[in-house]
Amino acid sequence: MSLIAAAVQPILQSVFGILAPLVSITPAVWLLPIVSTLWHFSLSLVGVCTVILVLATAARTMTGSPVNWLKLLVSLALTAVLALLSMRICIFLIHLNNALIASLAARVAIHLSPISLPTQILADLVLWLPYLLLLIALTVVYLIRAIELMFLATISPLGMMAIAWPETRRVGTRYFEELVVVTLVQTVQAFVLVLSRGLSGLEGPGPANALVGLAALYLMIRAPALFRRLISGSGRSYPLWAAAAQWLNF
Amino acid sequence: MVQHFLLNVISTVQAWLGTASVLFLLWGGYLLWTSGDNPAQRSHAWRHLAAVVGGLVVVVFAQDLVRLVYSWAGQGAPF
Repeated sequence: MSLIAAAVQPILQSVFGILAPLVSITPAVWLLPIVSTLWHFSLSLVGVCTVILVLATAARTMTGSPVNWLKLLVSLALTAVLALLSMRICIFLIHLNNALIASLAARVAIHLSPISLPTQILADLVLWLPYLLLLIALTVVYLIRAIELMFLATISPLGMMAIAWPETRRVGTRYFEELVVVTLVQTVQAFVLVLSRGLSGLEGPGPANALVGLAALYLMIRAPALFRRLISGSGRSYPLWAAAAQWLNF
Repeated sequence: MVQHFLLNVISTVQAWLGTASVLFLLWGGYLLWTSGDNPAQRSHAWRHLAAVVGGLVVVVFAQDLVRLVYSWAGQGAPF
């Protein structure tokens, strides 16, 4: 093993220690006490906001503005149902993601293992350092995803409430898209890993395998942005959910 | 503590709207008083009064309405 490889090995081990559990499964964020407490707070905030919206509608009635009471009642009922179900929706998406990864793992083992890199000096310089940097970046991506998932779970009642009211539906659909992207992107990343293993096996030394490994790591880092663009469309305003809403006449 | 503050906000908004509704009622009464025998103005004044009374009822029962919807959805109101 060359000097660079020897120097990089301990850092790699620590990076793998952090990264390994984050790659194969999404943790049950809803079990964290802080998430649960903040979710209940968000839920009570939704209740208060709903009362304020009803009061605003009453004020509009008093000033003689036309008010559609049926729409108001539908929005109220939707708010209550979606806000109460918000955490279950998050849990469902996380379970779905874990199930998809488990089904992928049933075919190919999903784990990051150090790729076998050539040990010549030139190859060290060209491959080891980018490999290490990409792994660190990937760890950061996974950590950010975990934090973002916790945040999205805590504000889920507010996000769902935004879907229920026509004035804030755009924000609500944006929230839901983000929730779907953040939750299910792990499946996309696992798929990239499986695909790269299919291409190279990531076994054995060789520049070709090493390059496929590096490309896979790069794609895994880019996956959230690419998946987000796929869901929400590039430059367009949320075509997927807009189409769904139009179809439901919502 | 925050929840207490938010409930205070609701109470304050309700109080303001209650006060406003009294003013709207007075205005409606004035419209009715000055409408004379003009049926269009009388009808307008009655519609105004009905809207104010309807709004006032919603203001008074806003919290109960939301609690009712939440209990229908299967859980007590979260505030």
